[in-house]
Amino acid sequence: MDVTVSPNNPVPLYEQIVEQVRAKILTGELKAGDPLPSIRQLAGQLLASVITTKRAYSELEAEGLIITRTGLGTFVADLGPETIIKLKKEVVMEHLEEGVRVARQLELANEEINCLFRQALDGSDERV
Amino acid sequence: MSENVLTLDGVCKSYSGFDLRGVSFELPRGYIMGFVGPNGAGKTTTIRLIMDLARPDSGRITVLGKQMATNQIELKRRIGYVPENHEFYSDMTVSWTAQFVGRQYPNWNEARFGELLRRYDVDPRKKVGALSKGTRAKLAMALALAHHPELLILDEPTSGLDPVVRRELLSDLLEFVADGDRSVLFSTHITSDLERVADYVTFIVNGQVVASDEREAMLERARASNPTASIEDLLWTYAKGGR
Repeated sequence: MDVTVSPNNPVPLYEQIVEQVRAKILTGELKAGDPLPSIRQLAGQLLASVITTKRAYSELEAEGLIITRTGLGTFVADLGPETIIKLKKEVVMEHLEEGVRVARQLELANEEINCLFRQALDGSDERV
Repeated sequence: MSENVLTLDGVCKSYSGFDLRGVSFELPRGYIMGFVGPNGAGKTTTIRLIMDLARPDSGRITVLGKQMATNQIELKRRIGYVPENHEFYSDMTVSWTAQFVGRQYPNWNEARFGELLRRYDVDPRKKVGALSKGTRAKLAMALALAHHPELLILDEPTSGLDPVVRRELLSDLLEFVADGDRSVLFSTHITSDLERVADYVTFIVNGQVVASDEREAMLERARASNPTASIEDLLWTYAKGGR
């Protein structure tokens, strides 16, 4: 599984893992039933501590994205297309809300925020 | 399940000009603990007490469930210890050194040692004195790992190493604990070593343990007041007398 983390990123390490695995599941790169590496395997691969990796898995499990079957391992949960769309929207909304929060802090009017949002949309082509 | 491989309980030791005061912490089996503090804080003294190279004035040290003082030979065979200054005979070759060290361990695995040397790119025919600092550190690691220890105790293993070798070493520590049965205590004053691989961090300042906990939990608490708090920030706060 292609995931990388960096302690220089201000986002906590476990969250970096959560974000990347979540994206892989929501975009379908990881499919329902796909096995995930064990916690200790992934920790070694990422050069991240066991507890950090464990915490990322707990978070993903709490979000319903993965399931752990005792003795068998950890697998991608079967979410169904509607849930996937809903979760995608939730993730994006969280970021948009953060943008709005910053805009409010800087005392921009709703009109201006709206404009900025459209500019951001136009400025970014399909490249991700 | 969460049995401790190392327990220090109120360990005190006085030297002229330096006191270790009531050092307590626990390392559960299967995890990596970073032991961090400024130079001169008492890291090496604590490790020497754990290894029974000095005796505490008071307090209790339990290693792999037993007292070191009365089970020294058995316990030392189950520990891989890398001191801060590797005491090798500089005129002797790597192979000779391995034979010399290997004789002390019934579990010594020559094949495993050879494999580690190849992996670390250490020439067994070279004299130890001719090796670079980084290569000597790798040799010390290979010697410590070749007898399949359950507990690795490393005193400043990364100090003086270049970033590439440092990362390799950290990755080896994770591989070492990958089966969940083996544990690592390593001291360092380089906080970035801990940001990745340490499950637990114990901070020592001025001969006293000021904090010892899961790294994630400590950082989480610190982030409440500083969203980008790092181990380095915590060490700075503790070193300046804060909590």
